[in-house]
This record gives sequence, C-alpha cells and structure tokens, in this order.
Amino acid sequence: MRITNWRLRLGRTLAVLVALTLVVAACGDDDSDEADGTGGEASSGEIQTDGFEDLGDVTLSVLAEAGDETTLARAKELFEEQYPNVTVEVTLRAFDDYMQIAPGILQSDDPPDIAHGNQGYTIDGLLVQGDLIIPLDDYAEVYGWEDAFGSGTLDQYRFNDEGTDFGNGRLWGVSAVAEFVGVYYNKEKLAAIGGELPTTFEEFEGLLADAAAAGEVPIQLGNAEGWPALHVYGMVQAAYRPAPEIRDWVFGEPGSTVVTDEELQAAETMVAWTENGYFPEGVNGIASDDSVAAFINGDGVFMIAGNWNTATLEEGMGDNVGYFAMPVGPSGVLGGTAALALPWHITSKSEHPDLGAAFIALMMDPSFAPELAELGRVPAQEVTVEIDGLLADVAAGANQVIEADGITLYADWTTDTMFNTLTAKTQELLGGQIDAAQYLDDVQADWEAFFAE
Amino acid sequence: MSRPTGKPSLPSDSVSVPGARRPSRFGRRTLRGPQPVAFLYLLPAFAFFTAFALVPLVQTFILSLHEWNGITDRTFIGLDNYASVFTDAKIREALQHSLVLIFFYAVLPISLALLIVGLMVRVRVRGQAWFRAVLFVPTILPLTVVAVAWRWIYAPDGPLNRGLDLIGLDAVSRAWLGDFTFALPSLGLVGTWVTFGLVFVLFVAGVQKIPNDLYEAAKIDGANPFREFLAVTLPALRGEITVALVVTITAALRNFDVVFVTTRGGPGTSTEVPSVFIYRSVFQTREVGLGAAIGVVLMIELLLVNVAVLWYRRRGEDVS
Repeated sequence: MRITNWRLRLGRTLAVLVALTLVVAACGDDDSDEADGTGGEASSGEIQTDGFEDLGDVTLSVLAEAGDETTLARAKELFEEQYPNVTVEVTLRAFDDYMQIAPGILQSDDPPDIAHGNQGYTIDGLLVQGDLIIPLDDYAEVYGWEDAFGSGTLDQYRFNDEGTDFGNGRLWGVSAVAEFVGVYYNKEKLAAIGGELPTTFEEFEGLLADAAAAGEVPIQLGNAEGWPALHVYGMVQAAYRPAPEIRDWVFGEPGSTVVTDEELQAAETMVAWTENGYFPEGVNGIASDDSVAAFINGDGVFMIAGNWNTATLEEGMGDNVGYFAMPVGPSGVLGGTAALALPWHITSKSEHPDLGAAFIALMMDPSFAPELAELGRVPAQEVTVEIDGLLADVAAGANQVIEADGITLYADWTTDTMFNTLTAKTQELLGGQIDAAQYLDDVQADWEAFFAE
Repeated sequence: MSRPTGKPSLPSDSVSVPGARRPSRFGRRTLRGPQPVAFLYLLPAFAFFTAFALVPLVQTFILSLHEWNGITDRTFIGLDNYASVFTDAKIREALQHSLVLIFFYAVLPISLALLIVGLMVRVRVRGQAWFRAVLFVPTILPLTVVAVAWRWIYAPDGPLNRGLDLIGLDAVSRAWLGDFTFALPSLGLVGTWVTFGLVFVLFVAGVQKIPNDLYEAAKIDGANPFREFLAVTLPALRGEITVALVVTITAALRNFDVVFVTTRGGPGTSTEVPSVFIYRSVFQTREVGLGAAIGVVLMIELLLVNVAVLWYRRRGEDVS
C-alpha cells in the first residue's frame, strides 16, 4: 500500500535543451526471472502484435490511476491513429480510491481489459491470488521488455503463481515510468550558506549543520501522514546500507533483517537530525502538502521528496530549485528510494489480451519515451531524451542511481501491514517515543510475523 | 395552567388537551390488542429494515467468522478474529481511545451545556434565537469540512498557535495534531465543538417547557441557585439528557471522519480508533473478517452503553 498523493504527476516540461541518456541497469538478482511454467492463462504461441485492423470495431477499456491521465491521453491518440477501428476507453480514479476499488472491479463480470495494480502483496499479490490478471512473460519476450530494462528491474512486478512470493516467479505487470526520491534544494539558500553540491553523504550532513547554524530550516519536511519521513529514512538507509541488501529485505528473502549495525546508524542519524533541529519543529503535525508549500516559500534549504513534486516546485520556484541524488555514503553504493511506476496488468477476463498488450507495448516503446519526458515523467529505459529545466536535474540524478544499481524500492511493499507499521513507527522515532534500536526491532517484528506464516 | 406540558411531575388529568376526553374508536380498538391487519402496515418498513440493516448485520457477523481477503475463497476460522480483537494490543488501544472520546463528545459538552442552561434560567439573554442558531451550525456541517477547518486551526503556524504566541504563551504552542500527548485531546475537543450545539439547543428547549411555578415555588422555599438547578432544572431535563447521551456517545464511538481527515490515527498510533481500524482492515491489509469482527464488537459496545444509559434513566423515573 502506498500513500495518498505521492503519485501526483509532474506537469508539462518543454523538451528543448539537455540531451540525456537513461540506462536502466539490472537491479536485483538476475536469476530470479525463471518462469515456472505452471498455470495456463498466459497467451501462448502466436501472439498477435499488429494487424488489429481486422478485428472490426472494438473497444479497449482501461482502468487507471489518475496520475496517468495525460500519458494515457497521448497513448490513446497514437493508438487510435494506428488502428482507427479501436476505441480506447479510459476510466480514471484518484490513488486512494483506486486502490480500494480496483480489486473489486477486476473481479466483476465485466472488468476492463487493462488496469493498474500496485507492487507488493496488498494489490498485485491479491490480483495474482485471485487469478484476476494474466502473466506477461510471453509478451515481454515478444516485445523485448526484459532486454530494455534488465530483468532485475522488473522483479518488482514478479510473483509466484500463488501470489505469495513477491519478487520471484512470473512477470505480471510492466511500466516504462520511473519514480525517484531525491534531494531538492533552494539554490539561493545553498549559496547563502556558502555551500556547494555535496559529493558524499558526510558533506551533505556538513551542509545541514551549516544551514542550522545559519538559522535556516536544513530539511523541509511535513510528516503528518507518516510516509514523507519514510522517504527521508530511505535515503539515509541507502547511505549506510548497500541497496541490494535493502531490496532483499523488501522481497522477503529468508534471513533478511533490518536489525543490523548499518540500519542502526541510519536510524540514529534520523534521531540526531531531529535532535539537531534539521527538520522543522512539530514535523509530525505538518501536512506534506504544506511542507512543499513552505519549501516553495523559501522555508528550507533542502527537501527530500519524490520526483512527482517536480512540476509544482518548478512552477513555484522557477530557476531557484535544483535536484540531486543523495550522494554516496558509507555503504559505498549511491542509492535511494526509487522504483518503477504502477504496473499495467492485463485482466484474465479480457477478450482481447493481445490488443491490450499492444497498447501497453506502445507506452513501453522507446519511441514513446520522449512523449513521457514531454509530459514531465521520467522514462525508465535506455533512450535518449531531450529535456530541460528541473526535470533534467531529476533525470540525471535518477540516471546516477540506476547506474549504481542503487534502487531500494519502497519499504512499505514488504508485507501487507508494513505501510501502517512504518508510518506509525517513523512518527514515533521522530517524536522521540522510541529509540533507534526499538524502531528497527518493531519494523523487523512485522517482517518476521508476515514471513513466518 | 394554560398549556399542556406533558411533564411526568404533573398529573395528566389536570391538563386539558382538546379531544383527549373522548377516546377515539381507534384508541378503543388498540386496547383490545393489535388486529392482524396492523402487521401489514409494518411490512414496508420491516422489509426496508431487513434489506438494509438486518441482512448486512447478519452478513457482517458471518464474515467476522472467516478469514477473507475480499477476492479469493474465504476460510471459516470460528472466533479467531474476535480473539485478535481482544488480544491485539493495537486494537485494544483503539478501543480505549474511543472511551477517551466519549468524555470529549458526550460528558464534556453535556456538562458545559447544563452549566450554561442552569445560568440562563436566572438571566434572560437577549437574542437567544440567534445564539442558538450559531451554536447549532457545527452540528449541521459535514464532519469532513469540520475536520479540514480544525486541521488548519491546529497547524503549527495556524491561528491557535499564533494566538498563543500573541499572548506570550509561546511555550505552550506546538503542532497539536503531531504531538503524542495532545493529539487525542485535540481531536476530542473538535468533537466537543461539534456536539455542544446540538446538546445545548436540546437543553434550552427542555428548560423552556419547565413551568415557571416550579421555580417560584423553589424560590419561596428559599432554594439558592444551585439547589434550584438540582431540584428543578436537572430532573426536568432528564429526558433531554438521555437523548443527548445516546446521540453523542454514538458519535464518539463511530467517529471516523475527523480522525481520518486530520491524523489517520497518528502520530504513531496515538489517535487510532476502531472505525479507522475497520477501514484499514478492509481496504488496506485486506483482512475483511477482522474488520467485520471489530465492527461487531463496536456495535455491541455501542448497544451496551446505550442500554445502560436508558436503563439508568428508567430507574431514575421509577424513583421519582
């Protein structure tokens, strides 16, 4: 389960200046993509990838989370141009609403042909368990998705056929959009404290101290919802612990634990930052939207947040805002909270799975990546895209993390209760209710309880 | 005595209700017990009640005996969900929070309203109708709107903290909804604000029905304002107090909107309430059976509290 509004998408950014290459390297174990060949709904053998003109008048119904509105509008335009006999019918729902109703709609007698899911047990696991979606391995092979991404990157869309083992087994969804948490900074404020862009985590901490000494709010943060500080923790965690270990924990690999020295250092860093006044006072009582507004109004040197804030920040701050990936820390791996966007699924009851796959393939195609960038989204595959402004910073930062194999995914995917556990415990950690060791014990207790079953 | 009061303290035959002397034919028939055809008239209401209350209730109970994720087949697990409700520390904590909220939603506004009504009996306030209307506004506002407004009031740089800073109480100001100690009482006070208007209007209406003779008699007997309140106002308001208790306690126990819009149970678990837990179980962690079990327990808790209130009232009537 993910959060309220972190998927608010980026707005429009003009595609003019900086050329940039995004290379999605393998992220995660490369051996985890073996299909086990059981179960049978997968379309076999002859997959139709073109020539849908012969279908006659057909409607392809799409159920999507509202953040994809502009992307879908563009894709629909292109697809209907290619196949005038096809009507793409899009239904959109806001994130919270979507996650509540989507499983029910997919289970109904007349589900859409393709629909969004969400990584982890609460949505994707449930859809697989209920046989509501079909595996996409054959389509991935035909359309070459694995090659474009590196198979490990797509592990976040894998489940065994029972929907009980996340990160392993067949591929059930895909998306071509990347979503990253990184560090936004106020250029004037950073210059005023005499700071330059940090190249190590230690330098970053030094800047925080300088900012505090100068009477600034070092890191703008509003944690009323519990998840914003979780994203900050994700960055500190990656500074101390190599990303592959963190991913193992998220995927529930046996023996994984957060009760380690590195995690303890990370959690204690969060406590120290709180005690040093690096976050605003009353951080647990500030709504995340309000903290973004405060940052735009010049309150805060840095803000650690997701790239879905890019358009809002650029609109509010113009050239005064920049972005960088959290610089490398003691872990030696440049990394942080990041993942691919909500997966596209093909429903089991769809009468035109090949047509649905073709529509998804259009959005996955490298030729669509410039469209994504123009819509303010970060394309997640090996393509050359021309973009400018803040989005160029964001894409460059994302690129660094991907190249370093530093994507740590979202910790709240780990178990069906982990979102609630992490949000509550992170608030307690920042509120001084529990210490760093207790925090890690409590989080691990949720993990153990889930994987003991 | 110019108008009927219907107060139990007055013998009913001293009241002249037009037409009351001559029992109607319908009235006479009722005395002999209901005719079978009467049940026919109940049928539409009963059908609605069955379809929209009884059937869902039974379904909820059946669900509460199962483990079910809402999609795949459900498994019967007997009373395991109920065991979780009573052993899970987090759910117990949420139930305790709902008891704290009863204080803020029911006890506090009723006490306050009684105090003010007691004072108003002595003093005639000009523009009463206007005050009543204004005080009633919170009751008719949608709770989500109320919650959004109070989230702003309680914000770290919101009006409450600015006011405190202005009068030199900077030390007191804080992020009220992000504070582990103050978040629950802060939400409770929102409830007080919401229910006070309803309770107050109810009591004012009740007081106006008390015949002036009783107050005059109390004065002649030399009762001070306090005795007068205890001997006249309070007993006369017993019916209104019962209604107020039932309505406000129900509001406290089923509180969802205010918590969900402001804190979602945080910080930590300090404002967690059962209804938010039901939402989470059903829509987030997909433990539909557990959510149903919490719902059943909450319903029984509500029923017990309200039965206790009504029983206490009936006992009070018997005594008088």
